[in-house]
Amino acid sequence: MTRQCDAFDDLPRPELLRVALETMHVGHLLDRALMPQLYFATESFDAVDQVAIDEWMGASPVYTGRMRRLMRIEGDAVPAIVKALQLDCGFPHQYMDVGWTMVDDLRCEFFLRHCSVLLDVEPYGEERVRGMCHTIEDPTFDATAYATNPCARIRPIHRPPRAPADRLPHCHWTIEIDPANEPVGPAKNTRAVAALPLARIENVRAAERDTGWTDYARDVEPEFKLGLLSSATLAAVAREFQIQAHLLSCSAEMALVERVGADARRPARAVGCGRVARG
Amino acid sequence: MLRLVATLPPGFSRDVTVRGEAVHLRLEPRSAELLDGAHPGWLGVAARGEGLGFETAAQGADPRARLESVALRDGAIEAEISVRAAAEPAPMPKAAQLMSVSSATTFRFDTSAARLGS
Repeated sequence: MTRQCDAFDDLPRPELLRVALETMHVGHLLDRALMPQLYFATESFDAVDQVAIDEWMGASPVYTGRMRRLMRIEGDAVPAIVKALQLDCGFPHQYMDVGWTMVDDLRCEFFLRHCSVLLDVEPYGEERVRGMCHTIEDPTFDATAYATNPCARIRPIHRPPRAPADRLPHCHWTIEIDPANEPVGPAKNTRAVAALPLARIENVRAAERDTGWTDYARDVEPEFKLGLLSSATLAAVAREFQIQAHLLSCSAEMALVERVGADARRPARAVGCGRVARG
Repeated sequence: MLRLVATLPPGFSRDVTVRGEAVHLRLEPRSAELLDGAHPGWLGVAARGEGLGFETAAQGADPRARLESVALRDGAIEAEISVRAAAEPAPMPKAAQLMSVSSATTFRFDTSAARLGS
C-alpha cells in the first residue's frame, strides 16, 4: 500500500512542534489569500462575509468530527466542544490566544487575550469589525459546536467593536448547551464536504517514539498546548490540520462557485498560500 | 519544504529527489479517487496538473525555483522543478502580495519550551 505523507513523522520533535503550529495556521493563510481577491472581484464586503460563512460552516463540522475520532474526544457535552476548539485551525495557538474557564458539562466561557485577526481588521473601521466579529462569527461558531451538540450555542458576553478602544480581553463568550434549544442542522455545504474523498482520508499514526498524551480522553486542560502530545500523536494532529485547511479550500471553492461562477476554480489561492506557508 | 508544505494535498505519499539543480516531486495517492480533477479545492488543482501551486511552494524556499513540467503519470502526479543558481528570483505573485496586509503572513510563533508546553 502506498504510504501516507509521513514527513511529519520523520521530523525531530522541536521541528515537528514548529511545523505543527505553522500547519495549524494555514487555514487563516487560505483566507488571507482568498478574501482580498474576492473583494476585488466583487467589490462587495457582503460577498466576502457570506463566502467566509459558507466556507467555515461547510468544513468545520466535518474536520471537527475527524479530530474528535483521532483524539478520542468523546461525548456531546461542553468539554468535548472545548477540546475540539483547542485543536481547530480556526483558533491557531498564539495567533489567537484563547483562555478557557470551565464551569460544568453544560457551560463554559472563553476569551481572547489577544486576537491578531481583530488587530488586522480594526484599522479598516467598525463596519469590517462587525463583519468579522458579528456577521461571520454568529453562524460559524454555532456550526462548529453543532458537530458535537446541535443544541449548543456560543454567545458573546462582549465582543468588538471595542469600547474603550484598548479593551482586554479582546472578546469574551459563553458556550452553553440547553436541551430546549432548537437543534442546529448542517449547513448547506456540510454534507457535500463530508462526501468528498478528501474527507475520508485515513490518518494512520506512527509507532510511539516518546512519552506524552496519545489522545484527549481526559478533563479539559485550559492551558492546552501541542507540546503536551507525544510525537506520533502530534504528527497525526498536524496531518489533521493539513486536512482541515484542504477541507476549507474545498468548502471555499463551493461557496465561490455559487457566488462568482466557475472562474472560482483557479489556483490563485494555492499560489498565494504556497508562497507564504512555511511548513 | 516540498515534503512538508501544507498546501500540497494530504493523502499522497511525497517522494522528493534532488539531483544537482533538478528537483523531482512524485505524489502518489493512497486512493485513486483522490486523483480526480473535478475534486474541489487545492486537491483538484493538483490533480488537474495545474503547476503554479507546485512552483510557488518551491519558491517559498527559494525564489529561483522554476516549474519545468508537471504531468499525471502511472497514477501519480510528477513535477520537475529546477533551481538554477543563475536564475532571477521570481517576483512575489499578486495573490501573495495581497496577503501581506495581514499579520498572518508575518506572524512568528514563540517556540520556547514554556510556550509550546514541551
